[in-house]
Amino acid sequence: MDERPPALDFDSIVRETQAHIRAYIAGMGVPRHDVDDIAQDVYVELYRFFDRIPPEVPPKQWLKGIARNLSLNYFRRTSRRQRLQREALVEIFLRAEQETAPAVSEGPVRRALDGCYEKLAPDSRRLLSLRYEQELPSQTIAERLKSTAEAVRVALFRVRASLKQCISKSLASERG
Amino acid sequence: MSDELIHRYLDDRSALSEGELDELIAHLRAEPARAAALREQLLLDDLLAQKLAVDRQNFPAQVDQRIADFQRGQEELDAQVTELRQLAEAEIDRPRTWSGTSPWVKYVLALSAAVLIGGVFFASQWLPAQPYTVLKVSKVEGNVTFQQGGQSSAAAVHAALLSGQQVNVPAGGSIDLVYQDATTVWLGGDAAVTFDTDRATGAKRVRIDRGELIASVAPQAAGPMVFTTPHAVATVRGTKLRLAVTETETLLDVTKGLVDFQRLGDQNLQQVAASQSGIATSEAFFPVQALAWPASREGVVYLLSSLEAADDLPYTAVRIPDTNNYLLTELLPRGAAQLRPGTLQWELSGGHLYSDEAGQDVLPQLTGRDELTLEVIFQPAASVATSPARIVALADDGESANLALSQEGSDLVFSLRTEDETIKPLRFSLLVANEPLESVRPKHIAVTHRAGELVAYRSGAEVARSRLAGGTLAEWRGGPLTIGADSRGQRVWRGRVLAIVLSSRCLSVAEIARSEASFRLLSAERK
Repeated sequence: MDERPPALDFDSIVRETQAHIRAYIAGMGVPRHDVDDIAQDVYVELYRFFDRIPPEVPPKQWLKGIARNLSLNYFRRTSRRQRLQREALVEIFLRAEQETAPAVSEGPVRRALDGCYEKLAPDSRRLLSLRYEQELPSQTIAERLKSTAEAVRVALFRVRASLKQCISKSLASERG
Repeated sequence: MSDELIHRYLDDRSALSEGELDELIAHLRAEPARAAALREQLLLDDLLAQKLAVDRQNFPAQVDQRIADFQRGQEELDAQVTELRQLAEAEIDRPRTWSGTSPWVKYVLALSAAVLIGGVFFASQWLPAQPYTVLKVSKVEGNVTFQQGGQSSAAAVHAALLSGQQVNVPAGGSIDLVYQDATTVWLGGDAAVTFDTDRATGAKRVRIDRGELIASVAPQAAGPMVFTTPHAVATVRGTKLRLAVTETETLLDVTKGLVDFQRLGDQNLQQVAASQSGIATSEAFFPVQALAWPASREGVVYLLSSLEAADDLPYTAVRIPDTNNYLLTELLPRGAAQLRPGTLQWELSGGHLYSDEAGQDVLPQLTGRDELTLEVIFQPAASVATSPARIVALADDGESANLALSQEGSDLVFSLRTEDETIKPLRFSLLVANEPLESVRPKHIAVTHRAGELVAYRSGAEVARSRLAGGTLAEWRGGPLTIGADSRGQRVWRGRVLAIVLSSRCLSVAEIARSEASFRLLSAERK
C-alpha cells in the first residue's frame, strides 16, 4: 500500500531543514540561481521515499546525501573537463565540511542571521542589498559606489566573514 | 592571485576559465583552511540570498507546488494504468467462451496488455495532445486575435488561450495575459507570439516571432520558462524582463532576477542580470550593458527624469559642453505646481515650472545646429482647454518660441524657430483612435528635426511628418525653459510631467521606440 508521509511531518521537515539544505547545495559550488531547483528536487525525493528512510538516520542527514547526489548529477550535465573540475571542488568542500566545526551549518541559523544582519553598519547593509536584493553584479555595484569590482568583491567577502563570526557566536551561546 | 580567484569564484561560479579553476582547485587542496573558509562564504552567500532575494523567499510554497505537480502526474498515470489493466483483464476473461484455456493465448493477451499500457504511457508523452488552457486574458486593447490551424478568433477579457495558439496584436493594440501561477505577460503592438508548455515537465514555452513582450515571471516550479525568438533563447526561472523582437535583432532588458540569454547556433551564453540589457542578432552577440533611461546620453543637452532622484527631486540636469559632464540645474515650481505625493513626477495643477539657468545653458548647444530631438513623457489632465496650452517651451514670449510643444484639445502642436520663416507647426493627435482623453495613460511623445523635416512619434511609433520645415536653428533667442506655461506664466497647461529629454541630434526610429519602451518598463518597476 502506498504510504504517503503525514503532511505535518513532511512540512515540518521542509520548514526546519530547508535553509540548511539550500546552503549545503550552494556550499558545493552550485550557482545561486540553480540552488533552489535542486533543493526542490531533494524534497520531492523526500516525499517519494519518506517511508524508506531508515529510522536511525536523521532526515537532515538523509537529505544531505540526496542533495550531494543531485548536485553531482547537476555538474554531470556540463562538459567533461568542467565536470571533473566541479566534482573536484565538491570533494574539496565536502572534506572541508567534515574537517571543520559545524559553525553556520547547524542550529537555527536563519534566526541568528536575522539578528546579526540587524547589527551591521548601514554601508554594509546597503552593499548586501545591492548584491542580494537587487541582484546586481559587482561591476554595476562598483559603478554606483564609484569603486572597483574587485573592491566590491573584497568588501562583500569581509561582510560575510563578519556575519559568520556573529552567527557562530550567537549559535554557540544558544547551545551553551 | 588566489584571493582574487576566490573572490571572483564567489561572485560568479562560472566566472573562472578552466585554467583558473585548475589553479583554484590546486590552491584549495594545498590549503584546507582556505577551502573551509571558502565553503563558509558559499553558505553565507546563499543564506543572504535566501533572506534578501525576492524570488527565494517562499521556498516551502515552491516545494508544495512541486509535490502537487508530482501527485497530479502520478494520479493521471495510475488512472491510465488501472483502466488499461481492467480492459486487459476483460479481454483475458473473454477467451473462455471461444478458445478454451490455452496457456499461450493468455500469455499473448498478457503481453498485449503490457504493450498497450506502455503504448498509452509513451503516447501521452509523444502524440499530439488535445489543446488545453495555458493563459487567460485580463485586458485587451485593439483587434487582437488568436490563431491556430488557419482559424482565427477575437481575443476578449477572461477568454482562455489554448496551447499552441498564436496571439496576433495589431499596431497600436496590446493584450495582458495571466498564467495560473500569477506569471503575467503583456504584448505590445504588431506582435506575433505563440504560447505552449513542455508536455513532459509542464514548463512554460513562448515563441516570439515579432513584437514586444514584457513578462513578470513567478518562481517556476516545473522548470525554467523559455522564450524563443528568431535570433535567441532566453531562459528564466523567476524574473521581470522585456523582449523586443524585430526582423534583425532580439533585445532583452531585465529589471529583476537573472536571465540566461543564448544566441541561436551559438554555444556562448550571456547572463543578463537585473538592470542590464542584451542584444542578439543572427550574426552576433553584443556585450551586456546597464539598462538605463535614456539608453544613451549622446547628444542629450537637457534631461528631466522621474526615474531618478537628486536631492529628493526629479533628476534635472544640463550638459556642460566644455567637459561633456552633466550638472544638476534648477527647476523652480511656480503657483500650484508640486511633486505628486510619493513620486518624482511634477503635478502642475495650474502652476508651472521655470528655469532661466537651463535656458541659458541649452541655447549655445542648439543654436546653429540643423537637427534636434525633443522627448516628453506626460499625462494630460482629464479636461483641457481648446486654446493652445504649453507643455514645454524654450524662450517662449507667448507669441513665438525657439521650440514649443502645445496641447490644443486632443491635438498636439510642435513649433520650431529656424532661419526659414516659412516653417509650419506640426500638428498631430495625442490620442489613439477611440481613446478617451479622460482615461489617457502617460504618453511618450517625440519630435525630431533634421534636414528640413519634422517627424512626430507617439508611444514610439511615427504619427506625423512635415517636409516643409527648413533651415538651421540659427535664429534662436535667449529665454527660460518653461514647463506648463509660457515665460509670462500664460497659456497654462494642466497635467503631470514624468520626463523631458532635449538632444542636439536626430534620434532614429529604433532609438525612439527603445526609449519609449525602456521608460515604460523602468517606471512600472518603480511603482
